[in-house]
Amino acid sequence: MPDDTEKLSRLPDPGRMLLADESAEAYDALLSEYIQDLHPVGALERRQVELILRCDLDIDRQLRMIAQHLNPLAEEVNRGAEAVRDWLRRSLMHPSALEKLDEEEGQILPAEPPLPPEGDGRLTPLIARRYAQQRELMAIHQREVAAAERRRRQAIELLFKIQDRRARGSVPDAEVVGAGD
Amino acid sequence: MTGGRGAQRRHGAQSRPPREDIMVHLERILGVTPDAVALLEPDEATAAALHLAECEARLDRAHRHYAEAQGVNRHADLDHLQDHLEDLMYFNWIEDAAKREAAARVMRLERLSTRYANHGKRLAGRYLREAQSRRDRALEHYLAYY
Repeated sequence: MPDDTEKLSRLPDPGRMLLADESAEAYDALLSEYIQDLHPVGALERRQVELILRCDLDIDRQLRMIAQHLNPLAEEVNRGAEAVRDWLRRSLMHPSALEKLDEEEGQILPAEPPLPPEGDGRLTPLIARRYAQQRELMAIHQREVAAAERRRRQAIELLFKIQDRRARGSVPDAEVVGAGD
Repeated sequence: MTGGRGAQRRHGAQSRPPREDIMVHLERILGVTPDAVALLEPDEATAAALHLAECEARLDRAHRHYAEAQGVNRHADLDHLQDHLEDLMYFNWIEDAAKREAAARVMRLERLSTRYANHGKRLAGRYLREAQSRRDRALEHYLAYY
């Protein structure tokens, strides 16, 4: 067994596994809490703890995405249709109006993403409609939640197995008493 | 729109990770920097550690690909094509009305773009599950020498 060190495992750069709305600092803080709770010893156990943390992050991320996709206030962006609509609109406009429109569009800032509303029962039909519109995507996210939970269970099981082996390794070999009698 | 059969194994998420990534894991697993001679003719324990290190590096790569795929809701190649079509339409370079209508219809192929993105998400999930499974098996094998 390799010598243990007290530092976090953080292998490799966790920033590469995180999305834009997740921070490496929060990841490190969570990892140190998990390490305090699970008491890993050695690189293998620390790695196992890190994988458990990643599964938890995956579950949280998938649930967050489901909530965002079901946000009834979010606008559905149809990029191609918008381009065609814009093109048709421009083709019907007077040149001076077109020039004014170009100036105005240069000043428009991109809209902020809408926040999901909280606790309003009247939004249920809209949420159900969004769910029906995105059934394929919802199925993918829900399957990923289930897969991450399964990976988490397996990672915890493997961690306990390694810790159990380590604990048994520290017990001195048994002596057979009275074998020669 | 993407590479042919087996392209992921050669270039993508399932390709062999760089040697540096494997060595980082190997050093952590063994606790020491292995010398080149030991790696040329590894004993069973070192071979198991080496296999585990490679599986760990593959798992990291699959996880990174998985995280990247979560934020992709459109297919980049199709977007690129739509950009070209938009330019053609915007500058009235398509004279023929029927062709212009065809271009407009291509612009409305949103479902195709979403479908490709969803396909990418499914694949990323599958790669991660496979990498995790291989890594867990490699760990169980290595534990015999631990």
